[in-house]
Amino acid sequence: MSEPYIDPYEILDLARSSSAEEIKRAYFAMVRANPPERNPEQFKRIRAAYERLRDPDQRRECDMLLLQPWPEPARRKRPPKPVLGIRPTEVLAVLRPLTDLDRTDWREQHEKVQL
Amino acid sequence: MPQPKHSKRQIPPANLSPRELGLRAFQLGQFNAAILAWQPLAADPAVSRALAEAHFRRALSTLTTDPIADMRRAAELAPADLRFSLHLGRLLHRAGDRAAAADHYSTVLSRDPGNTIAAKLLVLLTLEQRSDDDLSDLPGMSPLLRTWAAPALAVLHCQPTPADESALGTLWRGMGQLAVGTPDAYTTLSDERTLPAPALEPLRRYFRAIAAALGGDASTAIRLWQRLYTAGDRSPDLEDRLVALLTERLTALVDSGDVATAGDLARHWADLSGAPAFDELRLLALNRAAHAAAAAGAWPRAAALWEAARQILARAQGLGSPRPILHNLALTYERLERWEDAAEAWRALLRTRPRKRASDASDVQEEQRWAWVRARILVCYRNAGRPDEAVAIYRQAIKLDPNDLDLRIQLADALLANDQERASQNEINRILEIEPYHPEALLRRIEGLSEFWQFDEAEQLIRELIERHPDRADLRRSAARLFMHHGRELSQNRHVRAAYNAFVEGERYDPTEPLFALNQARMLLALRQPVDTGALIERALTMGGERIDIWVLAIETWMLADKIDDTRALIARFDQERTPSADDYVNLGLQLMMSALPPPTPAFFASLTPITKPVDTPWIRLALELLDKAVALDPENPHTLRSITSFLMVPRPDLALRFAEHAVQHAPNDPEALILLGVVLGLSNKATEAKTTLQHAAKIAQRMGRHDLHSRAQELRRVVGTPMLRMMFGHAMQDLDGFGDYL
Repeated sequence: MSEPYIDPYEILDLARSSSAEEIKRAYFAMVRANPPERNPEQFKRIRAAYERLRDPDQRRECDMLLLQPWPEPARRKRPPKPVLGIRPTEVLAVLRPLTDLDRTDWREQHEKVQL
Repeated sequence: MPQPKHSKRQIPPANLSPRELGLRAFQLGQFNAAILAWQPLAADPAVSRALAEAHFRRALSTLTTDPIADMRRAAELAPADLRFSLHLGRLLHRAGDRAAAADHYSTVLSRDPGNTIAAKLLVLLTLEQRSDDDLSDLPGMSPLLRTWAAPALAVLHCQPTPADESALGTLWRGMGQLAVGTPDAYTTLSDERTLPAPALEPLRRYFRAIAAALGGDASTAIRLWQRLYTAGDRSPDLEDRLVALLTERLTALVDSGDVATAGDLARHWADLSGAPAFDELRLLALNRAAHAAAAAGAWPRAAALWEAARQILARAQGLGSPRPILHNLALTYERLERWEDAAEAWRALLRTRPRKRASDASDVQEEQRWAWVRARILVCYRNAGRPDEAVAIYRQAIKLDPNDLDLRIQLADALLANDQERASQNEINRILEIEPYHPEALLRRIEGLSEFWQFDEAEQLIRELIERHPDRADLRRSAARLFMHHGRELSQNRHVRAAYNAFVEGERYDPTEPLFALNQARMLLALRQPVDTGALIERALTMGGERIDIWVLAIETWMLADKIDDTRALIARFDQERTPSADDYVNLGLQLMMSALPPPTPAFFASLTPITKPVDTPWIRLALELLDKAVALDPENPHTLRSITSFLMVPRPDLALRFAEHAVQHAPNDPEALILLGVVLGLSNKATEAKTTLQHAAKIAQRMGRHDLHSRAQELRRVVGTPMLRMMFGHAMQDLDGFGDYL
């Protein structure tokens, strides 16, 4: 198992479109809630997340290195109707091997050629 | 290489006639050669019959790609031979030409009503065309044939099947039960006796799966259908039933939040052609599972899941852009160091780029993202050990479409990133030969000129470009950036007047950039020309008041004008309007301190120069006030204290001392803070205290197992009290990158 994926926006509980001001505000709020002496590991994660987003150039690079969300539809498409009973094509699929339609060996029909 | 085997019989004797040659080939099963030999003699009735037989045999063999043409020719040569009509009908039937097939079957039956092969085929074909058709009037419909067709007709009409306890009769009965929804169907279809045709065995499993599904046992149904699917059955009926059942199952898994199982199921069935709802659901499941895998660091699994999603998206339509999947796949491959795969995925992403020119700010950002992707392709190829691959790819694409100027731009960028500057310039020249005012190409040429200090030519070109494209905001911003760059370069090289002019012209292209106003003020101050500093600063703050860096530069500009009261007034406003953080005060304080302190003496001389008593100017006192404010705001932040101490310890160790002591008070057992204090004491000529502090730092570092800090403290302890200490840190101040090595 290699290095896990870390999304700084998730750590700071922010949308990806957040402004610089919002990022800063969220960071301070998080730090206040997780001071280093009480929650050093969490503080480290918050700090690291903020470091990736505070500078605009670094943030742009960071954004490109983040996994993109798949735009899930608000309403799912209608599922296919369940197929009830038997379709005629299915019945005829059984009749077909009982005919010679797909037979390949026709040697008994060969006729001798004499010249 | 093995030698081909030559049979003596295959060597045509020179004295054989074409008729005999054809016969010999025919007898050897070489129908192509026989037809070739006999074709010119087709007028001879005996040869004509033989030729028809040869076409017939070839049509039934694997030697031809067009068996229908062969059978047609046989029927033309011997129209009375019903074998040829029968097989022509059969081949047309298989090819889907049912009307023509029916004609041939009817022809056979009109002349040979007892031909059961043709009669059965006609029954099948008639039912395939219309399953409720009346068969009683079909030619060749004997009582035997009626009995043969009866079970199929019974199932089709949902009637009881004729009593028949054979394996085949049981299969028909099971199907009949399915048709009317009898629960016994599964048991009936579990009969394992051998059926009269091998092709019926998988069909019985297929119907058993339907019975299981109708009985609510979806797992058995999927298992049975999966066996058929794996064996190569791709009939639309099987796919429809699987899709319906899998959609139900996947929906339940997704809705219950079982992301991992849903992802596995979707991945397993990734190559199944599906309905739009099934495709959508699979993508959702795969993407959620892949994100979860990535979050857990299971990158190989994430890659496999996104690969499956990509496969589905490639076939489906109307499910949205593949960009997020390609982006994620590329990043995942990078994590796995599958560099070529990553490059390929980034390239696939790049191919989805819409072809349009940047025109507003959001487009510029979009363009920056595409540029990033292009650069990434090169990085991946470079990591894969194939730096020239991207260039080769662009060249290939250009060969196919030499007038695609966007591609040529990409090639130029790729060449540049591949350190092929000359080739990149040549490519830009080629674009400009095709379209002399191509904006992107011209911008790149301008950048090249600017890089080589051909400022006048670059500026002239960008003015012309803007004149030609007055509506393109992005070009105006590019011009502003160019003039900003020129202004900075010129001012650093003391061409202050030219720099001022560049800042003035730059502001015309981007009046929203506050740096232009500030830089104009600074240039005029340097030129000692009358300047309304306050007005320029105000203009900058009106446009960029939300930017901390603009406030810092504005305050510094008042300092350059040597107006301490105005500086203090602006700092007070800064406090009020922006509520700066400790970091902001550190930045501002150090910026002012840097301007206020005399320039550093070269390291070597610094070690020899006697220390003179430092003077605290009003500017230094102001800078200190700001630094104290920073510490007061965030007193326990070791980073703040360390930044200030590190900055001040060489030029003003006396000022640095209290910050270093403050850091130790807050973290008395931090060896790094103690080392910093030891160095500051040493630089303040307090050798004894410095050595004691460094000794203490070394002991703590050893106790903590920090061997690096232990040896650093010891090393510094040895040089305290010697000129070496100031030399070491004097050098470090001049080369800030190496500064941390000493601390």
